[in-house]
Amino acid sequence: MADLHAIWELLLLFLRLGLTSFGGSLAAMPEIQRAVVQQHAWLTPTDFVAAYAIAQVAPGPSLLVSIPVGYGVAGPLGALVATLAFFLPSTLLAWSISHWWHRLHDAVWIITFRRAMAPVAAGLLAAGVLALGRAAIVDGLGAALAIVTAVFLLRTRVPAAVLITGAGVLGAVGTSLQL
Amino acid sequence: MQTRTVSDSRRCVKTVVSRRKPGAWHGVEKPLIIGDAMVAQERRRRPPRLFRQLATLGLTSFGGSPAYLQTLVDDNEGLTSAQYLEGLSLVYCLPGATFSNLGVYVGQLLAGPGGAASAFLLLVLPGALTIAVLSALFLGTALPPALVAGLRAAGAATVGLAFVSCLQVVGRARGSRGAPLSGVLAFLLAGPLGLGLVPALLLAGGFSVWANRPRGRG
Repeated sequence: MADLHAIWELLLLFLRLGLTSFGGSLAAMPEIQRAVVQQHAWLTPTDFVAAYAIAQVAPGPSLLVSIPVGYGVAGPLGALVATLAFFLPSTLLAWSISHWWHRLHDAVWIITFRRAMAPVAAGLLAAGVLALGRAAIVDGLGAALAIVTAVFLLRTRVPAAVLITGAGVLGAVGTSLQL
Repeated sequence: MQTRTVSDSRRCVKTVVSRRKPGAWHGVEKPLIIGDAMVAQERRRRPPRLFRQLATLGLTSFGGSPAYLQTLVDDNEGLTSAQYLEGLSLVYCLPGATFSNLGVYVGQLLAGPGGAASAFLLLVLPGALTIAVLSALFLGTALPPALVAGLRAAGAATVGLAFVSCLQVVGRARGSRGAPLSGVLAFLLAGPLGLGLVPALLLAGGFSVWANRPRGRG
């Protein structure tokens, strides 16, 4: 049976992270590592790196690192508790604010916010893409695939999903042939 | 009886003009605001296509950048670029995962609470299930090299998608006072200078709000 104390600690940790982590995974990851590896010693540094790698190679938010971390600490129940604790409160908060936001659409301060924050959001998005590129492109093949994908998307009507799937197949087959 | 329907991005107004009693309204149309019903009708039309797009994003959005959701922008009938930018601005000010929070915002906007819940599930579940399976199979052992290489190559390709989406967002975010300066400032602070999102948001956002503050006339 999973350690209930560890599950309770996981719940509290990811609940706190979910409600305080502004800036996504880059902001939250050091705190997760500190709590999981150093404070509670639930995972070894090597296991944490493996958990991070698993979260990075799958689609979706990289904060789904809560799954391998929770799994490593307390099995499937740990993964479920950590993920729900992280995503549920912050998602409900985002939903309720979105609901309220649409209703106050014409308020002066919302119009000001909308006008003022659009370029800031674009700048932050560009910074996020830069960080994503640094994390996801680890060799020449990766750089080439990113460039080819961008060129195809800009010049042709090939769906992005086809390009991404094709790149994945290419990478897997290429590695298999080398082995 | 003639019924005319007028809709704009914020409200739906159905206007009824009676021809049986000319002059009954002295030439003034009687507005019957039935916004909720018409918004609901609009929302019913959107979900199938929206959900297909969200499901595709859920399966291909490696790294979870909110830039991927730019692919939902369709100024004619779906999400407008202004709505996307507004949602992006809002979710950067909220805690949690910006990718799924932006999906919730878009789902709520286009298809109500059901759309928000569906957006969250479609964007998060595919990745969550993949990670759960990989964790169960490979945590504590080494992942097969071909699997790692395949997922890594797919992840690298999504950077190209994120880059193109980002270009489109940047191109559409230039309408406000001081936009180039605040955009570049936000990028530098959060990106190359590595100060993190909160300081970048406070400094660049504070400057931009100040530059775009409401000003009295005369």
